Amino acid sequence: MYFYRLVLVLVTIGYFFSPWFLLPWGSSNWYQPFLMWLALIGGTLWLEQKRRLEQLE
Amino acid sequence: MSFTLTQIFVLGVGYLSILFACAWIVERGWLPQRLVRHPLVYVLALGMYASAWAFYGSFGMAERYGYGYLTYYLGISAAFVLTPVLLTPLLRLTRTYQLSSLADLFAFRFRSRWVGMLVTLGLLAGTMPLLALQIQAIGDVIHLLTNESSPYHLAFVFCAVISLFATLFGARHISLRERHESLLVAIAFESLVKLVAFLALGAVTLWLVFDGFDGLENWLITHGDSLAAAVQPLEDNQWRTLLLLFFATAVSMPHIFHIIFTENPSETALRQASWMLPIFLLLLALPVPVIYWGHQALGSSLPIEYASLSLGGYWTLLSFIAGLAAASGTIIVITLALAPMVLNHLVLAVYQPPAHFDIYYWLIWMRRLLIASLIFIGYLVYLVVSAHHDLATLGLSAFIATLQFLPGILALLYWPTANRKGLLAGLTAGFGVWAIGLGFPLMLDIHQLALPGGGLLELRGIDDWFQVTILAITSNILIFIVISLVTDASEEEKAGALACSQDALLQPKRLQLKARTCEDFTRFLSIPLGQETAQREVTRALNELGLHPADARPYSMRRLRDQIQANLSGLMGPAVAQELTDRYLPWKTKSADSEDDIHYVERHLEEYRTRLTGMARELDKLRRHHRQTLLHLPVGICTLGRDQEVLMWNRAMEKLTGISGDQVIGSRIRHLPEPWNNLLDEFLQNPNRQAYRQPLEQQNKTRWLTLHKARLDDPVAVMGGTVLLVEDQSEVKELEDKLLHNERLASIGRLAAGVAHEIGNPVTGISSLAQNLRYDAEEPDAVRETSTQILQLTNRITAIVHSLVSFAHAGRHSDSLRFEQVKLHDAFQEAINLISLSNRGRNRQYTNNCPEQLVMQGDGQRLIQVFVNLIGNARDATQDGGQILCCGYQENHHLVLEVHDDGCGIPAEHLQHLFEPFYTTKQAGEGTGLGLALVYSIVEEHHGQIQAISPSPISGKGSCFRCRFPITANAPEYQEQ
Repeated sequence: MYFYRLVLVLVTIGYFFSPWFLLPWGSSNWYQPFLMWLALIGGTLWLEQKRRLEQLE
Repeated sequence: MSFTLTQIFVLGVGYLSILFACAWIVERGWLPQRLVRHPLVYVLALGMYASAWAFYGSFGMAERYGYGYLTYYLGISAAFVLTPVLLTPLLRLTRTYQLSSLADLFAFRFRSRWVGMLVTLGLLAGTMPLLALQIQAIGDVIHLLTNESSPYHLAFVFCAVISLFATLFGARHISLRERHESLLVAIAFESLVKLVAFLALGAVTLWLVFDGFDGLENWLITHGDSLAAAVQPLEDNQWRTLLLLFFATAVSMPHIFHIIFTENPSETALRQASWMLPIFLLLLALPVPVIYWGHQALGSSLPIEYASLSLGGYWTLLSFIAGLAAASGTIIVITLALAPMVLNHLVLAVYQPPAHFDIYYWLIWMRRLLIASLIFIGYLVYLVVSAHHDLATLGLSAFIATLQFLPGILALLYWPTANRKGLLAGLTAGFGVWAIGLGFPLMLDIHQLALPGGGLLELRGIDDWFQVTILAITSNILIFIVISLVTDASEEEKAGALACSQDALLQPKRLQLKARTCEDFTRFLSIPLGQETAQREVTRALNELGLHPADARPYSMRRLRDQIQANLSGLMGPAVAQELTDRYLPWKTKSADSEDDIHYVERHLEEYRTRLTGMARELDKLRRHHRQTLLHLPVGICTLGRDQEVLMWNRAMEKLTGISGDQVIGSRIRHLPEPWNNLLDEFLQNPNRQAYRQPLEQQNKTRWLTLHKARLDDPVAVMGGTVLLVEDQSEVKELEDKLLHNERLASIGRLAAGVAHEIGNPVTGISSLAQNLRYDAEEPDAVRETSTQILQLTNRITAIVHSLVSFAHAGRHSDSLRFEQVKLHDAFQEAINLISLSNRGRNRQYTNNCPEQLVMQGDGQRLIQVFVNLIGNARDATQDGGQILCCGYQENHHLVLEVHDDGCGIPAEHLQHLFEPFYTTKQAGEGTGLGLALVYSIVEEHHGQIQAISPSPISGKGSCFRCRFPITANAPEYQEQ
């Protein structure tokens, strides 16, 4: 659960700073938001694995 | 690109028929359960979130806010990232308490029918634009594909087909918490169709319009990134607000709530959805810019919302099918989610069917009727609103409305002091602002509002969405917090808060119900539900709990009541369920000093175990350790509450009694099976804290049990009560009896020489007298005298033999103590006589100073054994001519018996070991070391104490053994034997 609190903090930070993450728009990297999104999914997947291990302990 | 109405009708109805077939196949069981219950099906069903608004409205959002359209996908993805802290607790709550909707959840937490009603009305008002939007999307596409100026009739036909599908497959189960697997599979199929179609449309646009990625890059360089340079690029705060709006949809939109929580197959599926759903949404969002740019590159004259139709030809039909899939799925689930809410919180609030109705039949048909009605109302809203507003506007309005529930949901989980007054006021304020700012201009076409001062408030509708959203949510939160802080919550609300809180466990009181048996439950519930329904509900709850209908334990009755309430909540919502149980299954009393229900707390602690953190986790480990220790102690332990309800029954107790803990935990001590109920109940009534060696007849066998008890009423104990310890001493008792008998035989052996001598003397005398008789035959007086002497001598022999035999046989009474009035003087005398028989015992001076009137309750033969052993030791310790004094007296409430000698005394280092078995200071072969151990055992059997003192306080030398017996021993109990 400590872990979840950390995630909560990170999501809150992500929420406030999300417009800045998307700032460098340009014609050559229109897919950049999707890459960042993929990173978010990767993070969630990692979190899910971590949670499962934590509960197994 | 023009198609006829018939073609579109056939295509649309054909697609919906596939949907029917899909659901029907699942209903028939032709699809393996492994597939039906696969987490991927659940995730795809969640993809229903991407409604027609996502399929068509996203382009409008992209046109208006550039990359702001991504917030629609990212918001809910963020909510799924927070599954462990947001969605999982809600899932557990809805499962535990059979809550099927957001209104149920709020009504359960805030224990108010008004809350349920307001939430239902708010959700109806908020989601109607979303429902209308779906129908509008279908109508608009039909219009664009057929150039039909009035697509309303065909849209109505589609609504009718969708309505038929929803009533057939979405309202099949009477319980709202039962999953509709056929429906879920059909919705998952729809999500798959729209995903494949959208990806296909994106790919076709990329290759046909831009000739691949390079072409797209070149086009973007030439024309600039039109998404980045949107007409009204989102400010940072607007971006965040949109993100929050779509974050909230995961829990505040009724159809998303329905799929996430009501149709959820398992927690595992939800956890997998936390990363699988974002992937699904990513794949859906990816083609949006490509199709959008394709629409621009092609110079299509179609409205931007329908950019996916720009490709023309049969690709247009693919777009239509995907749009129909998105819209129909959303319509079905929205109405399925709203219908029970309307039924439970609006219809049942004003009308409840009479008991003679078949309530199940009534409920299911009411639900079907409401589903059809809601779709029809959505159609009416579409007719009224569609002419004035685009898809993006309607969708945004709906999301802003349902955002108002987010503060309440978060408070429900993480703010136990929030109360219904605060919630109602906050929601009213939030919805008030939304209605004035968006609802009136969009739905009722009102654009000016008269202010109290005489001025006019200009309402610009969707152009003010940001200001309206901020104002609505801020006023909602502030008013909610302030009113919750300044007003008190009712006791019921506090219970609801505890039930929902993530940091606290619900601690219900251990109260007694008026209904004492399952028959009582059926009888009481048949008043509102009818006999048949009541019987069915009670049986269902019993089966779910795995309880026997004859089980009448208070704990079982409390669980049964909770289960029935949860099941009724699944049928009619928590407000009605609570009202029914409070009214017809009431508690006897609700006193303030009622104890916490420890079973409930323990059960929930076990469930919460993996979620505990920090100190709570450590404390739980400690709790489990102590519990395991108690459970596995080799001594029977039974703890009782103040009301004598069994709280713990450990393994040793199970083994000892042959009764499992599951059978007795939660029952009263007097309801235990025979003979344990009498034994334990009598012991509890007894003021003594210990009952030594109580006999218990079980299966024609006597068991010897020593019972101890301790009260748990000290101020430190949170929950009072009693702890009982039960020791089985049958084996020890048997061994002791054997030992006692052996010791007696040993004593007889030691006395044998003396006995022979004692008997030899009178026999010699008899022999001499018999010889004299031969000469005195003619003198009758002499014969009589001689005969008298012979008789005296034989009597003496008889007395010696009798003493010896009774002493030897005393130890054979191994099965019981024979308590009677024992004259202590006589007992001492008997012991002295026996000891005097031995050779070594003759040259001592025995004095029996015990008063003749001194009597006590006890086993005479065993007391004589005590005295024989003590006097025998005194004899061994003294020299010829030594003095041995036996005396007795009463001191307060005790009888004190002492044996003094003036012998060699006992060294101090031996004093503390004297009563240990096999401890002896005598030479080998002279003593077994068991004499004093047996003395100790017999004295303890008589509830007495023994003490060795050296030197004797009378003679100042030698030693003294002092026995103290309570005058009020448990004599009556023993006399019964």
